[in-house]
Amino acid sequence: MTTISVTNVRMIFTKPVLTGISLAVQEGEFVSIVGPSGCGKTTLLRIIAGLLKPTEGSVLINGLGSREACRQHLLGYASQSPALLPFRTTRGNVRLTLEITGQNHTNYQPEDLLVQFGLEKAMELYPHQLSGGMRQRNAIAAAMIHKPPVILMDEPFGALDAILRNMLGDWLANILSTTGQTVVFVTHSISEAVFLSDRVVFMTPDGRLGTSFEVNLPRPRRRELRNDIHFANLVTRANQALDKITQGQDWRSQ
Amino acid sequence: MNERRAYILMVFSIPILWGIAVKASGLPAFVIPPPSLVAKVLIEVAGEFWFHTRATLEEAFAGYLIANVISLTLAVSFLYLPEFESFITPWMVLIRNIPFVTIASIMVITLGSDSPIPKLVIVVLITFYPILANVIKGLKSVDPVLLDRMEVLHASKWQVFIKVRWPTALPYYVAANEISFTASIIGAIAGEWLFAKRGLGFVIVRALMQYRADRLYAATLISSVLSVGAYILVKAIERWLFRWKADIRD
Repeated sequence: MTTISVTNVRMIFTKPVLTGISLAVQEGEFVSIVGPSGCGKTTLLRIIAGLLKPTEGSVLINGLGSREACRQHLLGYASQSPALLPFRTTRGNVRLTLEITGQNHTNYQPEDLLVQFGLEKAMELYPHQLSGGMRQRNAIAAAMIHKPPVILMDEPFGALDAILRNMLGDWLANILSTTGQTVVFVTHSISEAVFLSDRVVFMTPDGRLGTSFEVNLPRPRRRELRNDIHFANLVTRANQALDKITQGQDWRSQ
Repeated sequence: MNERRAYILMVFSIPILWGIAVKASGLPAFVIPPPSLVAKVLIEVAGEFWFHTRATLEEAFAGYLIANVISLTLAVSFLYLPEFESFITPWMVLIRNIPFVTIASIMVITLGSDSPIPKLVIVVLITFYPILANVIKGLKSVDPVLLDRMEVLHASKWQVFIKVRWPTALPYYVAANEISFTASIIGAIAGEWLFAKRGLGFVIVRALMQYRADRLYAATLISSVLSVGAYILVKAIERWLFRWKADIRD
C-alpha cells in the first residue's frame, strides 16, 4: 500500500529547484534520497512535511494532503540540527511532542522510548549537557514518541563525525526494524543510505529524480553487514549511479 | 573573586574610602559630611526618610508595571501583526527621542503639579523601551528548526507561544529588567526632583536648597541602595529561573 505519493511536484523559488518529481513510498518502506548539494533534497522533504507548498503538483500521505496529515499527527520530522528546547530536559523535550499532540501519557511513555534510545541515564539532563550523538537521538525520540506512521529525516547525522555516524546508523536500523514505520531519509552519505534503506533514490543536480535501486539486503541489519562484500558491491553501484548523474558538473558551482 | 564577595567588599569599602576622601579634601562637614554624620541623620529622621523612600518605591513600581504591560503587549502584537509593528515603530522612535522632561512638563501644565501622572510618565518612558526591544528580539530568536517541528506537529499559535517562544524570550526579558527595574527607581527620583512634593527626589532638592549636605548624602545613599538592591534582586530571580544552566555559567 502506498503511504506517500508525490505527483509531478515542481518548485520554483527565484529559479526552478524541483522539476517533475513523482515518487511513491510504500507502507513500511525506508527510502533514502541521495544527491549532490543544492539539488533540492531538503526542499522535497520539506514539501512532503507540509512546510513548503509546491508551485505545482501534489503530495498525499495515507491519502491526505500534507497539512491534513500534520493535523492528524501522522508525521515525525527530524533534521540535521536537533530541534530541542535548551530549557527542557531530555525527557521534557520528548514529552513536548505529547503535550502538543495532546496524546495520553499512559499510552506513550517517554521513559520507555528513552531507554530504547540508550538515553536512560540522560533523562534529566539538558541539551547542553549531552554529546552531539545524544542530542540527535533525543531529537529523533521526540520525533517518534507519538508513533507517527511516517518519519521524515533530513540528514539527521550530517553534523556528526564518521564513527558516530556509523554507530547511530546501526542504532537507527535496529530501532526501525521493530516499528514498521515508513521513512524518507535525506543524506549525502551513500554507504549510510545503502545500509539503512530498502530503496535509494538519486536526485540530479537540476532537481529531478534520477535512477533508483532496491537494496535487497536482509533485515535486521547489523554492524557486520558493513564488512560484507554484497554491501560493498551495492555501495559501489550506488557510487557509479551518482557519478553518472553528476558527470560533467562543475564542482566550483557547489 | 566571586560576585557576592565583590559586593560585600564594595559595601565595606565605601565608608572607608568616603572617610579618607573627607579627610584628604579638608573641606568642612557641611560640604562633605563624614559617614558618621550621615548615619546620624539617617537614624534621627528615619521616619521621614522612610515616608519619602516609600513614595519613591510606589512610583517606581507603578511606572515599572505600566511599562511592562505596555512593552509586553506591544512585543506580542508586533510578533503576530508585523504591519502593526511597521505602523507603530515611527511613533516609538518619536516618543523615545523627545526629552522625557519636556513631555512630563507638558503634563504638569495640563494636569497640575499634584498629579502623579507626570512622574509615572517619566518612569514609563525610561523603562519601557529596553523591555520592548529585548522581548521582541527574544520572541523572534526561536530556532527555525524548532518552529518546523511545531508546524509538523500542527501546534497552535498559542502552544508555540507558551511552550517555545515565551520561554525562549524569557532570558531576554529578564536581561532587560536588569536595566529597567533599576532605571525605574532612577526615573522616579528624577520625576520627583522635577515635580514632586514627596519622595527621595524631593528630599534631594530640599536638601540642596537648605544646604543640608548630610541629608543630601543620606538620600543619595538610600537611592543607591535601592537601585543596587533592585539589580541584585533581578539577578537573583535570573539565577533561580535559569538554574538549569548553572554549569554553563560556572
